[in-house]
Amino acid sequence: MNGLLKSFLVAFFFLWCALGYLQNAFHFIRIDPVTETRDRIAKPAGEMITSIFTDPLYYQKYEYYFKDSFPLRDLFIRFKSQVDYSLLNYTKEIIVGENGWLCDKKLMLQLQETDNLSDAQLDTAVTMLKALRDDLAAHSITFLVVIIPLKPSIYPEYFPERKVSRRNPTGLDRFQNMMRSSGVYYVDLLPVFMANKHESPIFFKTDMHINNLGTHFMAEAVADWIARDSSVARSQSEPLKTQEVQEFSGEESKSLPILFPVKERHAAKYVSNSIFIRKDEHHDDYIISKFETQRTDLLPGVLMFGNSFMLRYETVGFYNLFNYSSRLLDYSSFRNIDSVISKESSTAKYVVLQVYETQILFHLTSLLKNWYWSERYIGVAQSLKKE
Amino acid sequence: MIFSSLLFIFGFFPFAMLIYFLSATFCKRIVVLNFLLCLFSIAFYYWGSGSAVVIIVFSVVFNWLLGQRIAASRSAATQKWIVACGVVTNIGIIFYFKYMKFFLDSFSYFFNLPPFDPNIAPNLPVGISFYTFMSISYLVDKYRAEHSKCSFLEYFTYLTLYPHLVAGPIVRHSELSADLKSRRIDLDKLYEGAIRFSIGLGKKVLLADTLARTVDPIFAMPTGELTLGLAWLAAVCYTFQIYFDFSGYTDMAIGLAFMLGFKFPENFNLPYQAQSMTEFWKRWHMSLSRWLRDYLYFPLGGNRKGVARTLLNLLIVFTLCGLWHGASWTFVVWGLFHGAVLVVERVLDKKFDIRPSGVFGVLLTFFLATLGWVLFRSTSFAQALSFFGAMLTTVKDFSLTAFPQGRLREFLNIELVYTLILAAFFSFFPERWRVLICSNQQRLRIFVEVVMASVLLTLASSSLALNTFSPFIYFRF
Repeated sequence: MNGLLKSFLVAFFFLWCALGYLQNAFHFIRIDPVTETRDRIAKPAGEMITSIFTDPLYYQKYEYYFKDSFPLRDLFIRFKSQVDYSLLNYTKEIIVGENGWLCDKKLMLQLQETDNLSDAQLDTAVTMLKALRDDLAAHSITFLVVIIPLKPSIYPEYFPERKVSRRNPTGLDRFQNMMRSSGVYYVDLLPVFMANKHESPIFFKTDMHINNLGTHFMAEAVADWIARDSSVARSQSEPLKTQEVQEFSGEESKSLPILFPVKERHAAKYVSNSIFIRKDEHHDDYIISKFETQRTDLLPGVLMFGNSFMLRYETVGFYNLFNYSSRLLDYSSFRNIDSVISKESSTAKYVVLQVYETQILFHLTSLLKNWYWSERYIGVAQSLKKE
Repeated sequence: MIFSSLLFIFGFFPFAMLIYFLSATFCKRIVVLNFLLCLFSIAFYYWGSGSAVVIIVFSVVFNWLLGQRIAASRSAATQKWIVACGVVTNIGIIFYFKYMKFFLDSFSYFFNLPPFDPNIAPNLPVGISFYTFMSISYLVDKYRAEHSKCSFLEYFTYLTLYPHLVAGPIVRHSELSADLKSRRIDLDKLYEGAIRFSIGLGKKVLLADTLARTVDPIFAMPTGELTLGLAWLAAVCYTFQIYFDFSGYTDMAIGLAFMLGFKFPENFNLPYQAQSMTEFWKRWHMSLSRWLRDYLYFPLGGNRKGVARTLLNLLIVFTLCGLWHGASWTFVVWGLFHGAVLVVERVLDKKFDIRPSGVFGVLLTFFLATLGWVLFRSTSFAQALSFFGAMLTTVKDFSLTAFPQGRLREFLNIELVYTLILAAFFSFFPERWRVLICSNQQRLRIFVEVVMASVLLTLASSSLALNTFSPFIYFRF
């Protein structure tokens, strides 16, 4: 019996070590490759037997290549992640919250860094917004900022205190206060989201974005703000038709990466009677439906824009969108705001800048280029006659 | 190449073992097996060290020739001269490659001279500290006539054997000489080897590397951000990390040696269960301690020349022990610190009959070792002092919730907590319990070993793959 046990271990040990060679020869295991931010490293040029003598760094290049191309790499990555996730409720990249909620750790760190921004740093951002506001005001366009709080801010109860610690007041609170005192208009989504968060989640559990329901509430808040500001009545909204999503896996789920991806059943309620602007997942391939303006005396029932790129169009149109990609180029810099304005119709009355909470940090710390938030997240509501 | 790399485990090792087993099965000639081992060892060393292979080959040829001369010489004085020449040359080589820059920098610093061109310092050949000490021990043992004749191929195999080549243990020729002449690979050896390698890999990858993910960022922090909690967390984590890293690597080396038919000496014996620092050094890096005792402490006179000389010898030995670990003043002071603690322990023991023991002794030893490891891990005295300051004086700042103290919570993830619990368990699990279980339940022991080794091997190699993963999350703005 002891000999049998020993033989088993020895056989297992050597078989395990030879797995790479066996997989290369027979391809007996098939597994979905993990998705990564980078391309896998290519095999270094040249034959190993000669290159190791001629290229002093060949061994290093080959080790990098081997790490990336090892035949069972994807299986091993998924296996270990699954063990960590299932046994420890822990993964390297993602905070595993309760009830199936996930949150990217780096995103959480960015939120904490946002909370730690100094008043002077926040003031720098507000100053830039003021400059943009003044540019637009010179063309009789009202500038409105909408900052979307992220899910750890809206659903902290699903992310235990030991995993998610925030400062009070948060960076967003302080930033909005500074915008208020500087006269930069903004829509405070925090109370809107907090009031509507319970009936059905307004964020994806497995993705960092607000879902379509969240987008709907955001758009309602913006439309209300514009209606109040312009004294134009809103059209009668028809009830929001929803559709349950059975098995959705967001980016956070895909990033785990585990053998059996986390799926959420009621992740989002897609609005079936709305029109999706987003046709393709690739950012540069948006094909925007055209919406003919029928009446201009009423605000649309719901408008949606920004990261979720969705427009719910009801009885009246308010905007005739073109290919979104070309518009992105227009907004690629605050500096070419004149170009933006010249491309908008003369009836444009509102420019809405929509960003997520952590964008405050990125913009200030120049982790990304300054144009980033304007490029991706600016949305424009126009063709609205301001009486 | 290191043992805990995917390339070694899934590339080099199975390939080399297959050829070795086939040769052992069909050829069985020890000369062929030794020759194959030399070939694989040189390939293993060349991969990553490149031209530094010339130095180790020179060392092999030079020391073997000196050994032959010692054996051939009938005059004790001549033998002494040959040994002295060999020792000086070996030390000269290690001095040139490892310490020259350190001494030149120190010289220019103390005499306020402009700094030397850093390019004059050569790259440090991998494993030079280990194979130089092995070479010296070979010559001295040869002089002392403590081992039998060996052929050039046997000596080449001994010094370059890839399991000990990079990080020891420091094996004496007499410990391998029998295996170099004749060895057998059977199921028991393969089993022991597989167990030790799997356990070592698990220690290194699952414990040490996980702890390193906490230690490295804290030691990289600006010193002003250190708090009591962070400093202690990093210090304790590093105390466990260095043990599981080094002992894990040694386990892998011992395991590989088993599978090749050799038996290496043990290098660690639960050092954190030591009840004094004196005992700690009998359990920590035992092959180095033995080497220092036999080839430095005893020749200096050991404890045979009075109390004062004994204490001085201890300080000398441990100062040099610190220097052996790295060419930096922090290592020297680390060695001096250990030497000083040993001196105090010896004085308390001999003069006042006071010696730490029991749980208090274990805790005190662990505390002192932890302080020492902070010095060992720090890149400068300023950093070490900041750590000591944070660990010992800023009690009022301790907080789990407030910023920046709240950063402690960032590091205290569930993986780290489990890792620390496991590390503490495997460090402090009483040896007598293990012996009791093992002696009474042979079959249970083997069953547990088989399950544990299989799980560790699976998890550790998966973990190695996971460390290469760069997740894609597009929303990170």
